[in-house]
Amino acid sequence: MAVAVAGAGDTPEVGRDVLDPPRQPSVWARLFPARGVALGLGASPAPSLTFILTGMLLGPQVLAVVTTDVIVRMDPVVSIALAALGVFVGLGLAGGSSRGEGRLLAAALLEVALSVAVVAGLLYVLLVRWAIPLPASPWLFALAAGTCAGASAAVRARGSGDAAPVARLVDLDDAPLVVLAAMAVAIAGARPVGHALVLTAGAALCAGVAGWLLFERARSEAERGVFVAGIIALLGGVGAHAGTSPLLSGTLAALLWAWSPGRADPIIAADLRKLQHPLVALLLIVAGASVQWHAAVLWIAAPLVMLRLIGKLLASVVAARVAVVPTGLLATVLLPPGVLGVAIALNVQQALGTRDMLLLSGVTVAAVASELLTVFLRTEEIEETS
Amino acid sequence: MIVRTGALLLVIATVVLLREFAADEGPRRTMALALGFSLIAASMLGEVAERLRLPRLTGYLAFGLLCGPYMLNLITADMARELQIVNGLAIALIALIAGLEINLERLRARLRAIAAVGVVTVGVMYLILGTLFLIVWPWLPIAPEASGVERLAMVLVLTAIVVSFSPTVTIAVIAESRARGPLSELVLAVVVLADLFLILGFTLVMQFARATIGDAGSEGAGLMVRLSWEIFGSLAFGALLGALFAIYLRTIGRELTIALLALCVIVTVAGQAWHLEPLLAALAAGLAIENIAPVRADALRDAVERSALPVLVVFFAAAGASLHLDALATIGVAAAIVGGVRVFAIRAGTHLGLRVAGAGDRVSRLLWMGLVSQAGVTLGLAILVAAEFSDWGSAVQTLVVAMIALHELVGPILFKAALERAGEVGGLDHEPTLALAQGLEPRRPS
Repeated sequence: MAVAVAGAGDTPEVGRDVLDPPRQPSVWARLFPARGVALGLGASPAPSLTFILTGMLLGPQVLAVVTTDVIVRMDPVVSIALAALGVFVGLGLAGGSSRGEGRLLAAALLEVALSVAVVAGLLYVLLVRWAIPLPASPWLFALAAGTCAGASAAVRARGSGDAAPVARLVDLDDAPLVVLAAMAVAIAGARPVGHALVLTAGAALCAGVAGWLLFERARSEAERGVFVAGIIALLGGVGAHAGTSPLLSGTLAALLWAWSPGRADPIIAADLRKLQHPLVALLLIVAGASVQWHAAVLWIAAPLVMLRLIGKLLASVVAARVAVVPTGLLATVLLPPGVLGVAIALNVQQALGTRDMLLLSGVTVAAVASELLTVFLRTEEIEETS
Repeated sequence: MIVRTGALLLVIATVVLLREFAADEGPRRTMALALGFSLIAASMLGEVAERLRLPRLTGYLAFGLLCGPYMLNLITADMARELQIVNGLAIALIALIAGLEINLERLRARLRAIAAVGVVTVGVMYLILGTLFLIVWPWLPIAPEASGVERLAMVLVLTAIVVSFSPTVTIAVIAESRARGPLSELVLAVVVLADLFLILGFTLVMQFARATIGDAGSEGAGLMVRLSWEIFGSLAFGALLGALFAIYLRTIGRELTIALLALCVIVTVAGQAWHLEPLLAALAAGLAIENIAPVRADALRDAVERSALPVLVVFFAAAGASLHLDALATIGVAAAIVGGVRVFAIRAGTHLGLRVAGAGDRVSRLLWMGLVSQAGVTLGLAILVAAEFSDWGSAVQTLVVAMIALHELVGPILFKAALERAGEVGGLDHEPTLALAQGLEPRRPS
C-alpha cells in the first residue's frame, strides 16, 4: 500500500508532487528555508501557503504592492489560469484505468455530494442564525463555500495496491465540483443557468476542436506554444464571456482532446506543464492579495475548516466502502484542500462583482488553515503507507 | 493549410457565437477572448505574411487592422484598449532582448563609427524636415496662423517627433527574422542611440516651446533633473536589476519563464511608479546580463523563446487594432508627403553619416531601410505634446498618428527586405550561441 508524494526534483505536474511533497512538519521545517522552496520555486509541503501568504503580504491591506486596481486588472489572467486548471482537471478525468472505473466514479460522486452537502448545509444554518452581512444570498454563499470545501489536492499514485484507485478517485471528484462551480458562477452573475451551460459547452467544444486541429500541425515548438496559449486564453474567455466558469470550458476541451484520436492531449499536457507553476502561483497570489481582514472572515473561515474536516471524514468513510479502499488512506488523501477550492472561490467572487470579498477571503483563510491542519494531522499515516 | 484555415474558422465561430448569444460583459471580461483570438489568428496571418516574403509582424498588424474597430470590429475599440495592457510587458521584454543582443566587446571596434552615423543621420534629418516644415507650415493642418518664434518652436517640436525611430519594431523584425550580422547590429545600435539623443533633444525643444508659447519656463532646472533621472536613473536601475537577475540565474536558475516575466513586470511597474523609462531600464538590464555576468545560455534562451513570441504577437495585433484609420483618412495625404520626405531625409542622412564614418560598404548602405519604422516612442512624444498644448498639440498628434499608421506598415517590410539583401535572415539558425533567438527556433526541414 503506497500513496507516494513526490519531493523536490520530481517532474512537476499539477497535484501533490509540485504542490505537496512530504508533509512531515520536521521535513517542512528543514525544506522551507532552502533556496527555491522559500521562494516558492521548489517543492514544499504546502506551497499554496507560500503563495497565499505572499499574496496577503503584497496585497492592499499590508504592503499594497498589489493594489485593488491591479487585482481587478488581473481578471482576464485569472480567467486564463482557471481555464488551464480546468484542462488539467479534464486530462486527469480522462486518464483513468479501466479497473472498477464505474465504482470509483460512483464513490467520487458520493464523496463530493456528501462533503459539499455537509459543509453547505451546516454553513447555511450558521449563516442564517448569525445574520452576517453577505455579498450574496445565504444559500448561494453556502453552496459556493461548500463547493470550494469539496475540493482536495490531486495526488499522483506510485506503486500498486490501493494507491492507484485512491488517486483515481481524487481525480474523478473534481468533475462534479467543476460543474457545481459553473452553476454557482452563473447564479452569482444572475444568468439563466441552462443557457449559460449550453453556451459554454458549445463554445468550448468549438475552441477545443480548433485546438485539436492546430496542436499537431504547428511548424515549430514556439508556434505550438502560441497555439496552446491562444486556445487556453480562448477557453478562459469562453467561460468568462458565457457567464459560467473557465474551469468548465477548460475541462470540456481537455476531455475532447483526450477522447479524440491524435496526440492533442499529451501535447497540451506537456506545454501547459511549463506554464502550470506560474499560473497556479498567480491564482494563489491574487487570492491571497484579495483577502480582506475583518471579523466576519474568521466567522466564515473557522466553521469552514471544521465543517470541511467533518464532511471529508464522513465522505471518506462512505466513499471508501463503495470504492473498496482503506478509509484511513482515503481520508488522508482527501484532507489537503489544494488549489481548486481557492480557484473556485476566486471565480465565484469575480462573478459576484462586489467589493465585499467575504467569500474569497473566508475560503482562502480556511484553505490556509486546512493546509496547516493537514500537515499535523496526517503525518504518520503517510509515513506508514509510503 | 486547409486544416489550419478550418481551425481559424472555428476560432472565429467561437468568438461570433459568444458575441451573439452571451450578454455584454464589458471589456475586462472579454479580454481573455480577445487575447486568445488574437494569438491564434494573428499568428496564422503572420505565417501568411512570411509566405509572401513579408515580416511576420506585418501579418500581426494586418490582423489587428482587419479585425479591429475600423473594419470587421471582431476586436472592438474597448477590447483593443484592454489588449494594450500587454504593451508595458512587451516593450520591456523587447528591450531586454535588445540588451541581450548587444555585446559591447563585439561592438567596441565599431562604436565610434556607429555614433558618427547616428549623429549625422539625425542631424541631417532634423535639418531637412525642419526646413520643410518651416516652408510648408501655412499648408500643414496644425496651426497655420502661427508665425515668428512661435512657429519656430512648433516646427522644432514637430521635427523632434517626426525624426524619431522605433526600437521596438526594429528589434521585433530582427527577432522574428532570426537575423544576425553587421546590418542588424548597426541598425539596432543606431536606433537605440539616436532615440536616446532624440528624447534628450525633445525635452530641450519642449522647454523652448513652453517658454515661447505656453507656460514660460515653469520647470527650468527641474526639467533637466527630471530628464537626468529618467535617463540615468533608468539605466542604473536596469543595470542593477540585470545584475540581480544574473545572480538569480547563477544561484537558482529555475523557473526562468516566470523570473523573466517578473523582471519585465518589475521594470514596467517601477517605470510607472518612479517615472523611469521602462525601455531604457530593460535595455540596461539586458546589457548587464549579456556583458557582465556569465549566462546559462540555453536555459535563458528557452525561457525567452517561451515568453517572447506570444507577447510579440499580441503586442503587434493590438497595435494594428489601434491604428487610427480615421486619422489616416482625414490627414493621410499630408502624412504621406511628410512620410516620403522623412524617408528621403533618412536616406540622405545615412549616406552622409556612413561617408563621415568611413563605412560605406554594400551592407551598410542598406541602413536607411531599417530606420523607417515608427511606433511607441513617436506616439509617446506626440501624446506629451497634445497633453501640454491642447490646441496645436492635438493637431500634431493626429498627423503623427497617421504617419505612424503608414510607417508601422511600410517600415518592417523595408527592413526585412534589407536584411534579406544583406543575407542576414536566419543568421541565428546557423549560430546557436549565446545570442537569444527571441521566440523562434530553427525551422524544421520541410
